[in-house]
Amino acid sequence: MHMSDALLVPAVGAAMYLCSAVTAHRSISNINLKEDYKRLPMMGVAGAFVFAAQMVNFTIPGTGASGHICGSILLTAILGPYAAFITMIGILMIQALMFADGGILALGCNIWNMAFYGCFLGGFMIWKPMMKHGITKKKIATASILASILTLQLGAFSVVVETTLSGITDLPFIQFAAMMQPIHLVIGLVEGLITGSVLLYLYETKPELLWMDESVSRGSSKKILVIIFSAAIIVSGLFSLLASGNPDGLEWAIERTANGSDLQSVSLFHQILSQMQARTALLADYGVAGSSDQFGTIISGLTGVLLLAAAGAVAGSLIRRFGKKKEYES
Amino acid sequence: MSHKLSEKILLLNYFEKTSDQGTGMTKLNPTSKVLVTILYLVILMSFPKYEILGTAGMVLYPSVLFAVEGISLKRVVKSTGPVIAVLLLFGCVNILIDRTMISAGILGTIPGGIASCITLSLKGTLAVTASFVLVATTKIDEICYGLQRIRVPKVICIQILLMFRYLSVILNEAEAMNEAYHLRAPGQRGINKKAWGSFLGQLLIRSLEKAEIIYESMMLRGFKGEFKTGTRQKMKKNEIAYFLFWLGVFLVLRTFSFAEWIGMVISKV
Repeated sequence: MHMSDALLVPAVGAAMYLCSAVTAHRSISNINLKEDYKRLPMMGVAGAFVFAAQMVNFTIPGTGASGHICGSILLTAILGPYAAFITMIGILMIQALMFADGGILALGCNIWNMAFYGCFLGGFMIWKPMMKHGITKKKIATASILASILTLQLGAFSVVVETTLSGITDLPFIQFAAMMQPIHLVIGLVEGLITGSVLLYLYETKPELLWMDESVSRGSSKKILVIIFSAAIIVSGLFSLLASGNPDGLEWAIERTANGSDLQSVSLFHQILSQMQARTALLADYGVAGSSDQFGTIISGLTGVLLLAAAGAVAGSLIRRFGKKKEYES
Repeated sequence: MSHKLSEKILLLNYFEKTSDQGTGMTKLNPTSKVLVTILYLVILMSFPKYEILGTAGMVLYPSVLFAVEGISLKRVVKSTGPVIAVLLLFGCVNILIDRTMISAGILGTIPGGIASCITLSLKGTLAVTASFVLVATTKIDEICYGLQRIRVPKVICIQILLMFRYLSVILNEAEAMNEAYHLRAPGQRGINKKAWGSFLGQLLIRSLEKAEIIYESMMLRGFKGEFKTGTRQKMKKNEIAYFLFWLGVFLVLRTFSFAEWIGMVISKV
């Protein structure tokens, strides 16, 4: 799933770099290497291990084909999500620089598609809740398979979105997604089986190597945020399809007074702004070029929620940082 | 798959050798080389999808550096193979779907799908060659230094250095294990599902035991959590000139179709 540079335009590459950079910054602040500096050599060698493991092909039963692991779930289960994310960045960077496996410009996308989903969604949404009340073999196997499938499905979907937004392929969005998702479902299942078997081996030989989050819960505010965010995703992704297609109040009023739903821009300033908007509006009219209205609406809704969540997170982080600085100065 | 592992090890050794040659490019400040590479990629990817000749003009940068540094073209071709294969797949889809006829300068009128397929393949090849040029002329610790100068966090740079240092060790270990397995299971393709867990698990445990030894060695040498990555080197005039030169060249190539102009001159002659 390593994306090449040629599949992206600089704007999309830069946007994904920003997302990955923010996540990397958050991960670095959570690792606390100054107190636990044994972590760094562990991360370095674990990264080299995953790299080597990716070179080893495993027979996929019943298919005659072979495949290799991605490694983000495996690293998360050993190092924890934050350290695993930083390790994956190192792996992907070396692969991009040295082995032409993924491009340098596409590195931000590859980090997001392969590391973010595996380490954070796989780690916090599946591994951690499942292992909360103790680790068992069944839980390890189930968590590995579920997390791998989730990671690869989301990663493949992100590739489709990023490539479509870049305008590289003429393949309609739905057909592209329909090609990518089933293949990556199989790959995810195989990766889950391989990851699960490795973790089970570790559990039997050296169980102390497996990551267990020992941090005390910080209260219900995070839970509330997750619930709100999930609700926003569900509403924007599904309920938006039920939205009325009739014009809103303003458009209705303009239609009746100006004999048309769109007012024409007259002044030069308005025309310049209209041209700028036409260039930047990737999801014009809440749709994706070349795809049906329904899926275009879903994508627009999801994109809007994600962008808002990201903006909120950045704003909250800045406010907290300035607040701390003021507290320190006073 | 032992062949795949050996190839990677050979490639790593080749990069270490070429980046240590002491030639003009290898002595340049790594920051300027990293910045030029990033700039090249950004400008290369900014070409529209039907712009064949403009994209082709960007071959100037890697071809000059290949000639100056004597980098092996055979290795580049090997590295670009898998990349081109994936891009051709996308390109073939474009050929089937996009049948609008577009004007491609001196190439005449061609279907848009073919134009976008060619542009895609060119972009992919040139992007790979650019990163190849960077690693063939810059040692990994210098690349990390250059990355730090452009504000990549120190932790990530040190992580890359540690990983790179132990990559060949772990790869050799994996190759030995792989070979041992296949000597016991001749004719089998890949590792059997019954051995997945124990094979990788063994490799992982060995790797983590190595990490413990490395950590203890670092502690014995006075490691207290801080890595010193050398004093800051200021960019010299020739290095700034190197960056500005290529910036100018890339901007000219982006705005003016150099390849088309050469084609017209040759056709007139």
